[in-house]
Amino acid sequence: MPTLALALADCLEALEGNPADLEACIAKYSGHQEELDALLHVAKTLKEPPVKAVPRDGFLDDLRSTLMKKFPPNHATGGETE
Amino acid sequence: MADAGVPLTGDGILVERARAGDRQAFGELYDCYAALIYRHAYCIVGDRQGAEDLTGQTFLQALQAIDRYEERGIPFRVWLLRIARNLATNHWRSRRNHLSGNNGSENGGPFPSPELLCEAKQLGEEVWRAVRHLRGDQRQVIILRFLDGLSYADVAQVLGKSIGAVRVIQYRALSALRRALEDGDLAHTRLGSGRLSRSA
Repeated sequence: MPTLALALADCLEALEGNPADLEACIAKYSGHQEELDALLHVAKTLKEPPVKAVPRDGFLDDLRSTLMKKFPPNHATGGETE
Repeated sequence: MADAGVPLTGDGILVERARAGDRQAFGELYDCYAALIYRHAYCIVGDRQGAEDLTGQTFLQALQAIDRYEERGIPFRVWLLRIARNLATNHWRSRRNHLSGNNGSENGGPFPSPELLCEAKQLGEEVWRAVRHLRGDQRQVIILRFLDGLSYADVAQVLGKSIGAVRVIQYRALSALRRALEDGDLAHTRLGSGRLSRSA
C-alpha cells in the first residue's frame, strides 16, 4: 500500500504541475493503472470547492473591524486610523 | 523574533510590523488569509455559523499569539491553519463529551445538515459532502491539500506528521471517497465510467 500511496502522490504532483505528464506518470505504475485512474478522478473533483465555502456578504469586513478594535492598545501606535 | 541575517518574506515583514504596533500590518495579513481560513473552516465544520465562529477564533488567537510566531520553518498561513486545526479539534472533542451516545461522531466530524444534503447537486458538492464523513485525519489532509493547496511538507507541519504518513493518509482518504461515491448514485454514471479524462 505505501507503494500505491507514493504512486498516487507522484501522479497528483504531475496532475498539479503539468497535466501532460500525467499519462507518462500513470504508465510508470502499470500494475495500478485502473486504481490510479479512479483515485485521480476523485482528486480532480476536489478541485472545485463547495459552493457555500464562500463567506456571506459583509462577514469578512465585520470580522476585520472587530479584530482591529481588539488590537492591543499598547500596540496601536502605527498604521491605519478608524 | 527574526534572526539577524535571515531574510524575512513579505508575511514575515508584516508580522514584524504588527508586533511593533502596526495595526494596519495585521489587517494586511488578515486580508491575505481571511478567505482561505473561512473556506478551510467551512469544510471542517460544515456550516456557515460554525465557519464564521472558527474563522473569528482563529484570527483572535493569532492576534493574541503573534508575538510567539516564528517565521523560520513555518509559513504564516501554515501557522494560521494549525491554529484553526487545534481549535476545531478542541471543538469536536468538547462536542463528543456532551453527546450521550456515540452517534457516529467518533471520526471527529459533524453530521451533514439537511441544508447541505439538499444543496449537494453537483459532483463536486457530493464529493465534499463525502469528505465530511471521513475520519478526522483523512478529512484534514484532503482539505489542506486540495482546498488550501498546501504542499506535503506544509500539511505535515500542520498535522505534526511525517510527509510519508501524509501521503498514506491521502491515499486512504481518496480510496474512502471513491468507495463512498461508488456506493451512491454516482457509481455508474460518474466515477465508474471509464478512464480519467486528462484534459484538465
